[in-house]
Amino acid sequence: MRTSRPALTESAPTETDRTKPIDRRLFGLAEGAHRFLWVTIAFGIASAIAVIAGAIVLARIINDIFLDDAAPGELVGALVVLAVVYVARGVFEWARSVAAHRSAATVKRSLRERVMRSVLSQTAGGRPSGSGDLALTASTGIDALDAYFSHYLPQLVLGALVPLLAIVWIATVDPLTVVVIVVTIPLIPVFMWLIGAQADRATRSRWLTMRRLGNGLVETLRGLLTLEVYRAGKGRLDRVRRLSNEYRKQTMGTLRVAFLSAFVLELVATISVAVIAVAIGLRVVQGTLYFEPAMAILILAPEVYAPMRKAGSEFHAAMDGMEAARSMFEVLESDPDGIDAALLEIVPVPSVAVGAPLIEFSGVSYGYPPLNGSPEVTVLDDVDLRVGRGEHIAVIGPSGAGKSTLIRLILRFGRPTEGVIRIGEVPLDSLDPSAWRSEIGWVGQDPFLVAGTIVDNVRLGRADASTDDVAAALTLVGGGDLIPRLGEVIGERGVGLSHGQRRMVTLARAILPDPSILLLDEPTAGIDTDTQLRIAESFGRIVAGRTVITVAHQRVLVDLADRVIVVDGGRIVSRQDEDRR
Amino acid sequence: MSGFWRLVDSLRSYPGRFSASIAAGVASVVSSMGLLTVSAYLISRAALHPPLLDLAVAIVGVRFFGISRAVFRYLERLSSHDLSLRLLADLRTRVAKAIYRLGPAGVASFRAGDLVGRVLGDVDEIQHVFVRVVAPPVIAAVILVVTAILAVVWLPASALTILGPLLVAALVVPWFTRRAGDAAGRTIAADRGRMIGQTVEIIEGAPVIVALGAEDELLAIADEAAQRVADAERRAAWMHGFGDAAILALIGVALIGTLWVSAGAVRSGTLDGVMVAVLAMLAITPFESVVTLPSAFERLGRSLGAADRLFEVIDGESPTVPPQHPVPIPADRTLTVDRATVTTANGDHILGPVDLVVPPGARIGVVGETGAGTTTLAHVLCRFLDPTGGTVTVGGVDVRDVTSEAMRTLVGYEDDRSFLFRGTIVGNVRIGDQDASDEEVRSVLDRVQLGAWIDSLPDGLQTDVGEGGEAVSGGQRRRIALARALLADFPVLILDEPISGLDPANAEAVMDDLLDATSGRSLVLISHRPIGLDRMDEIIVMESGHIVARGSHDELLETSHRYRNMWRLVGTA
Repeated sequence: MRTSRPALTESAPTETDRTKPIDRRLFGLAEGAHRFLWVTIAFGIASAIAVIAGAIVLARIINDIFLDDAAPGELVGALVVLAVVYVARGVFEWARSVAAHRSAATVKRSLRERVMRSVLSQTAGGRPSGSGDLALTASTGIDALDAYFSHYLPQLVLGALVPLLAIVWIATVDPLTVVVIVVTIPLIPVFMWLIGAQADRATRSRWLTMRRLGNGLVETLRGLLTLEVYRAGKGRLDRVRRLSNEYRKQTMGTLRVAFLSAFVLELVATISVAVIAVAIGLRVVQGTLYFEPAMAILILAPEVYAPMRKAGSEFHAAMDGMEAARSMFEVLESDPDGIDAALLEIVPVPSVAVGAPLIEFSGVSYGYPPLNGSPEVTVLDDVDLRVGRGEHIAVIGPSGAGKSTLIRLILRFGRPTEGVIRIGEVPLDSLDPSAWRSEIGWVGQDPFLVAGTIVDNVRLGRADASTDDVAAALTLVGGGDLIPRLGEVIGERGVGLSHGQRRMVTLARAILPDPSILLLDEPTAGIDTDTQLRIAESFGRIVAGRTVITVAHQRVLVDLADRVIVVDGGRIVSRQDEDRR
Repeated sequence: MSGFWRLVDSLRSYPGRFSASIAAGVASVVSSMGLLTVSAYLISRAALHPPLLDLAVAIVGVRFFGISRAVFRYLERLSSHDLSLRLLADLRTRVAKAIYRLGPAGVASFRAGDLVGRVLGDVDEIQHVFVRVVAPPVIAAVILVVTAILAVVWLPASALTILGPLLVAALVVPWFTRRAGDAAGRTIAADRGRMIGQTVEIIEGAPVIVALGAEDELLAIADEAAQRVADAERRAAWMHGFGDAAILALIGVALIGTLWVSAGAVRSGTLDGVMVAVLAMLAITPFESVVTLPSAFERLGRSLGAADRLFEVIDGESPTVPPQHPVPIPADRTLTVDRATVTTANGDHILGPVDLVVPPGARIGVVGETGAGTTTLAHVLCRFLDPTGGTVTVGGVDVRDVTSEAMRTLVGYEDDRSFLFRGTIVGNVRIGDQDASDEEVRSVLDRVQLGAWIDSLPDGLQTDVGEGGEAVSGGQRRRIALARALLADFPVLILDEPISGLDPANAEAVMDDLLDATSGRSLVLISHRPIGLDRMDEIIVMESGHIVARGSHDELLETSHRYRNMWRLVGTA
């Protein structure tokens, strides 16, 4: 589900939830946004002046033809002025639009970059972050800001400027019309806000039901095979039709309310024009107002209300963009929990003699903080573990036992909620995380590969490695068959490679900087038999001379370990300390 | 006929609603034209200082249009959305029907990977087709005609000066912006795709990037792509503003031309001077209906693609043909696959030739990696798919002469997802047999060793399994799926990867219980993990669609290198 759509969140809205039309943070972060606001205001003023000038000239021409019987030839001068006015309006509009798109591009780029940097630095600081939702918002959701910058905000600025300047001029010819405008213009934002809030509530309260109904088709598609096997499809098809119709009725119920805000907006705008037209018409009859200014006011009236109306119709699209931006500000503003503040002094990574304790867990517990009212989940519970330099231990246990958490804590992605992890004699917390991580080669279960060549991906392990180094690393892990394909471009997440080949690339990448510590989290899970065998065959070479912790099930891997520990339910339930070979 | 036109054609099922929606749209634009033209008339007449009564009709007209504009717009929005949702319901049902007719094998032949995602995305796109693509040009066309009639009645020469620029705004401007936008759009789309990919990569892969210390490298790569996109968007911005600017200029042209011919007509006495302001308003106001056209054209491209893809599914040919003269299934339930091959429409050979006999009560193991053809073989055995060569017979009768209904009572199939529907445990098991009592459901759940677990749940059998079964563990989901298959009491059961994704201890436990619970009936067990295969009567080893080795467990350990290797790896610590 997209997070960028405020109306679709499940929680009940509160007033503070409502996204403000102008978020200062958005302008604080990119100077482009600031310049944009000024450019928009400048062109807004120019446009407003052109609109007013156009109305005056047009009224003069109509007056000349109608009341003064002017010949076409006498009008050439005025018509040229009119042409200039319309061309100028077009040019201003064009320039304003270019400025708007440019600033949207600048702000989006800057916001994306900041979010990426922030996610990386928060991860480095040991704070778990980077949900899939955030990735989606930062990648595509933020494009909704286009509507905000290109349509909504400029119309809002025009919506304020055009009436203001129009009032100044109209006041010189007909103060009574000014009264009508001054009374009606503020009604638009007020009604927009009142009905908008009402519609929002209606939309949100119906969202859950609507989603359930909409999902009928999804389930039918996903469960097709089951429906087919058990001959249960007929009933489901009827259900899709029934649900779709229910969905329509529910949606229409919501839309009836949601469209009301646009309705009131239009109504205020057009009734106001009608009121102005009738009022000036009557005054022209009475002779208290001349035809020419009356005509100019009539031409001007719809232009006064138009920008506000347009802003109203872009309101929801614009708010989508603001919501996307807001969820990113939350990431940017979240303080990394004082984790870095805890680093009073940074100690260099200690050197430990072979055989001496390198990694030591003392009474380590770890739990995920409570989320949405659910209780804290304990993943590791009072774990004591000592790994000597050069030692190779295997960790086994059922899924969900806490094996991967053990590895992540060593990498300092997260800190124990209780107990302490020491490296040599030094608490892990006082080491510089990136210096510590540079000692470690890690192969996790997620085959993270970037779009690029195979050699690019392996080289992520060590940027200055030569192609020969890359080839050597691949050979070492058993992926020699990939060497002829080093320059081949693979897609995001390694698209174009088999699961086994992706694992080979990630293994080679971990080995390339020749790390003294190797953390392998199920290195052969989910890949084909051939690759598993090749990894098993090269495993002895991979681990030789390093401190290794392997999470694995296969005997061929576990057999090489000096020790095996069994983890279950977050605790070490068994240690086989003797050499099992 | 292209998918888009078929979609437009389906509007014919709702002639009343379609006309009502268009009428409301036209009435709304006519109202705003009316508001200004009548107001202009009112003020012009007023300038001649007539008795107030003469202006009464015009005043009523102004007030009427002042209200009707918003009312008609509201009605238009409601009716057009209602129509869209009706079309959406029809389309959903048609797609669901088509997919059901195609069956799992037919659906698999659509190469676009995630068919579900694709269909939903396309249906989503299509639901806007009426409001955003079909209605605006139709409304604009009617407004053009209305404007033409008024212009001809009031001052024929003005028909030229107004309609000329209006037609250019309606046809040439959208065409031009779309053409120019297309060229820029294509390069942006590619760069944007890359940039979005990198953003997702960096956010989701943050731990790996941090562990590798590769933050700066990746940020630099991402920045380069972002720079390219920003540059392209800046270039495209020039085009975006052009449409609006051009329409403003065209309004100016229409206005100046109309004023020019009006001036001549007033002097020559063919036009009442009162009408000059009215004609000026007639020159300006109809442009309201064309300003939405550029975005409608822009949308059109996407909608065309979506409609074509959906109709490709709706028109998809079923991979099986129902028999002309159905034959009942004989008492002998032996399934025989004889030199069966499957070749796709574009000539890819994906299975066979395969020979396989499944006698009643036999246990057959099928092993192979992803892409070895094991699932295609399962689809052939279930008759989701007819082989392109060779035959499948049951008790000597070709399955092509048996109805699919009858086949569904003979062969059961559970794939590696063990999909559960949203709802309770008992509801999911009862899919196997709608008429089963709670006791019968309970008894099959006991047979798959879920009895104790269900007793421990506060809601017992009524426990909700969540969306797609996500509220229960992988092992429990497998067991519930097996229970529904047992309840359906198929003489032949095909289990495709029943233990994939389970950890070793769990996998062994599920496999043990599964083999115990299915004893006595024919079983085809497909797996890429060897767990349980030692209890099979015959095992076939498949590789790229072919059987590369077959025999009993002991024989294969002797003869098949591949099979031996699989066992080497499975040994758990």
